[in-house]
Amino acid sequence: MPNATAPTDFQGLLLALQTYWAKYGCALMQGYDLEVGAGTMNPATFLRVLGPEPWNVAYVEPSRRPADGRFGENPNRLHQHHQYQVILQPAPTDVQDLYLGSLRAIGITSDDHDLRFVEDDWESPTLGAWGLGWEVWCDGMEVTQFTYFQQAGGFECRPVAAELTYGLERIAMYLQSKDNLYDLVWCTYPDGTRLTYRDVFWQNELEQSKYSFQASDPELLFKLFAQYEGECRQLVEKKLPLPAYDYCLKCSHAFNLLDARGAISVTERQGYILRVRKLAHDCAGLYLATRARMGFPSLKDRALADKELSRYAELVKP
Amino acid sequence: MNLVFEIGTEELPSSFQKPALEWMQSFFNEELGKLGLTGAQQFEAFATPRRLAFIATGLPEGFHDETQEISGPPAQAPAKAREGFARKMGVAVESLREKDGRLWATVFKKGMSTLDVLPGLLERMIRSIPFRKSMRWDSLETDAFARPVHWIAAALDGKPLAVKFADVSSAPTTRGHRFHDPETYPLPAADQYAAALAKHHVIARWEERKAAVEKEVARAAREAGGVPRPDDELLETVTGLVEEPSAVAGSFDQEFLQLPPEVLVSEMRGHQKYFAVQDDKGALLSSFVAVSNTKVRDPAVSRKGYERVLRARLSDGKFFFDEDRKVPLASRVEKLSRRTFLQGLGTEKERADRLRELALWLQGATGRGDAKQLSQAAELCKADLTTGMVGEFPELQGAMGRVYALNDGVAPEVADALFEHYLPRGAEDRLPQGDLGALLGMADRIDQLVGIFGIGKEPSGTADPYGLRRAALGLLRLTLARQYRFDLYQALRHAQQLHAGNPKVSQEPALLEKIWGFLLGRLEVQLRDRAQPDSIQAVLHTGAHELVALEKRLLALHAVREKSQAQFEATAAAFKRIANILSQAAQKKIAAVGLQKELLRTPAEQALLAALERSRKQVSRAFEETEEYADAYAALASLRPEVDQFFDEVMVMDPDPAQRDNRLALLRALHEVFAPLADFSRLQLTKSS
Repeated sequence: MPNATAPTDFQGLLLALQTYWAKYGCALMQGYDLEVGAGTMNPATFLRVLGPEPWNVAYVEPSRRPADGRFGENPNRLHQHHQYQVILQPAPTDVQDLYLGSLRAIGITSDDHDLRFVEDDWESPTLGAWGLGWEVWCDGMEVTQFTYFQQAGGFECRPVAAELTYGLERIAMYLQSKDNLYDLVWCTYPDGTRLTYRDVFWQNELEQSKYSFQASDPELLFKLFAQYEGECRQLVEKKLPLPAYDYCLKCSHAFNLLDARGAISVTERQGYILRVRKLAHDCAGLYLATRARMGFPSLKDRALADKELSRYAELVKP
Repeated sequence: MNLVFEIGTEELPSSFQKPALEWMQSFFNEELGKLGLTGAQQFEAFATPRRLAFIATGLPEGFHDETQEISGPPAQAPAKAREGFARKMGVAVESLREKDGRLWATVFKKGMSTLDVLPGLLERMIRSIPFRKSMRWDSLETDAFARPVHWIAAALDGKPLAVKFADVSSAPTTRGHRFHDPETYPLPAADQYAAALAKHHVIARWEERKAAVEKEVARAAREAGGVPRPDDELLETVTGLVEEPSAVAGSFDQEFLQLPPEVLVSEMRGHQKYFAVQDDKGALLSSFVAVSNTKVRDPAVSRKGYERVLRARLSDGKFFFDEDRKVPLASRVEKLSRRTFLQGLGTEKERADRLRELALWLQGATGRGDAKQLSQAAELCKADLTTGMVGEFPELQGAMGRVYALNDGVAPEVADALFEHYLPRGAEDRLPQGDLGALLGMADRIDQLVGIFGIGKEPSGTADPYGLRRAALGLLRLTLARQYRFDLYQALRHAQQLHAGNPKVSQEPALLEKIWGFLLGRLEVQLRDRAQPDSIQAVLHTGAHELVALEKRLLALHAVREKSQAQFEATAAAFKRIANILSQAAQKKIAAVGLQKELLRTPAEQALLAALERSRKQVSRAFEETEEYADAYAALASLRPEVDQFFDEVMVMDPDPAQRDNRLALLRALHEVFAPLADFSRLQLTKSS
């Protein structure tokens, strides 16, 4: 039971978070225009947390996880859910307090709720990324993944970035006291009609589940995986980290589709993960080197920039 | 002098807190010792999610500069001795003086003040606390800690100490509870530390907080009309999640009670860290207790939240339970052929097939358990890995197999074996009740050991990613506790042959030697509190591979050493000597010949032979019939006069090769009678005779 200031619909929740983090000083961005499994994969996180340049950003990421699809039948699980992603680089000393402030902004306070930071080690094997932090619990429910990035693409994160990933549907279900996410109110039209989550996404959930589990063509997906991988590699060769990374994301999605389809055996699975990880690593290294060659332009403290540049000398070498 | 020290952090993982407490104490006192200072008279450490702290009282102030005159070797000592003395004293040779016929050194010992050395010591401590995983958080520093450090407070008798770590410099202040009392306040004095923190809503003492959690949980469970299901592990975890506990009881829909209790408990404790509530007969109620770090304004609000999350989880659980039961467990066996057991060791199906073979072999060797049922249990034992429920809750493997098998009408003994073959899951865990589970569990462990050693992934140092030490200990415990008589080496060989079709698994005899050595190492640990280490060594290294007999021989040896130590040692020494003579003869390449009685001419030789024949009967009775190994040791002791007489009167290495070889043959015969008892050369005897 949220308090009076709590947003009453889904988009109100987005707006409240957008407002809070914009006020703090985050650049508001958009979810990426390619299929990603999580906001972390958006280049605005994965690539930007590399190197010493400051970066504060917030965005909504529609995140696709083909294996989690439930044909629109499960009240808690989705093929595509929404994450609210905040990256604060470097991590401010008071980042926990800032985060708790954002919960207050959506009507969740420690006066009324059991808020706890429960250990969680985050790791993405496909991205070669890991960090330490917590699941943040509100009355026993995980509402946010809070991570201090230690590595991305196999490279040390210096400075360390804080990543806050809010699970929007869960939080909205909580705020709106709904047991079924399809009953969530997305917004209310001026005439009082309520647009529900079911209205917006149910058909998509059904069709995407059918696609992932039944209709996809594994042969084509295997072929695409290989082609995307080839394209990523040749773009890395041509020193174009951002387009290359797009193809790495496409590989990752093709892999997720194949995985959901049960087309990849347990033995092969690790091999595919390692192939994507290699691409992510190469893109990350190339991105870092490219930024370093540009002299880390968004780092205002030039003395620091010079010092940091020496750290990446090895990468910059032709 | 009294020291208060506190490291304030963001929320530390629950499991990191208690180990850090113990570590801090030993580190602190050891480091003081290294500096030549005595340790604290009293030391108490504290850990909460947001702080690691300790108070050390009765610390010495240190000592002043001191000059001491120390006497050394006589004045006429050679140059070498002079130099040695000077070096030892840390002074130049020229500075040594003569007085009263000896050399004297003037040694200066720099004074040391505890106040001065503590900051450095504390900084070293912060840097070296071992955590399972550490992280960086600051932009430019490389210092790492379990979670970001926010404050450091240190004071000696109220005087602040300057300690720096990462981007934090110490200040003599601390903070209260994150939500109830977030302000900064002065660091309390040593004798008031815990009491002062309590006022600020922080129960600093681990055990006190754990007791508070327990009390709160019991109170809330009582409100729900029951008692908490005992769960010490969960209590420990929750203690590390709160600074001041406050429990709230909630409930769930009765219909979920149809789920097996294992599932309900896993759902509650696993993700949610809720305590299950049961009635006085141990039956689960449709209630739970959650423990909060804050006392909320209206528990009804958070209760509703706790209930919603659990409802979603239980619905998921019910979904899996219903789906899983749509097909019989037996029909899942085929699916195992699509699951890899371990890279290089084939599929779960191939594993289950091997387990059946091996379990049946063990059944034949031990004569225990019903072969038909065992075969069925082996076939089914990994089938539940393919169920949705075990996919979601891996810790329910085995438990779900049993539930689903019973649901399919499988015989209860077989169903129980599906669960019990995983027992014991750790050093403290219980053992299976039935033979089927025990035999299958032993087969599983033998297969793991042989397969994983076979592909070269044996444990090294402290790394044991496949839990082979645990598997080995489980195997040994099962064998000894259930008194299964079989040749373990043969079992290993059989397991190795079952991998014959897999080129990745070595078929070399060396593999079995390696595993046997590993098992003996674990067995030594297992038996440590039963006998002295050298007795264990001596008994285990006789080339016998039947553990129950080995244990009996060990207990017999231990008893005889306890009862008549001096007498036993003298006899054992004589046998050690015999073993030495024989091995020297072997080294000299003296070929072994058969004993020719007519060549034994001296009374001492004849007496020894008679005694040998007499005791051989006794020993073989012990080995083959009674297993009263104490009798064998009595026989050994009774030989002593003849053995002594033989060594007093007879020279074994006689110039006449025929005499020599025959005497060696006599000793060899004697040795062969007693060698199966123990390898006497491994015994450490106090007196050498």
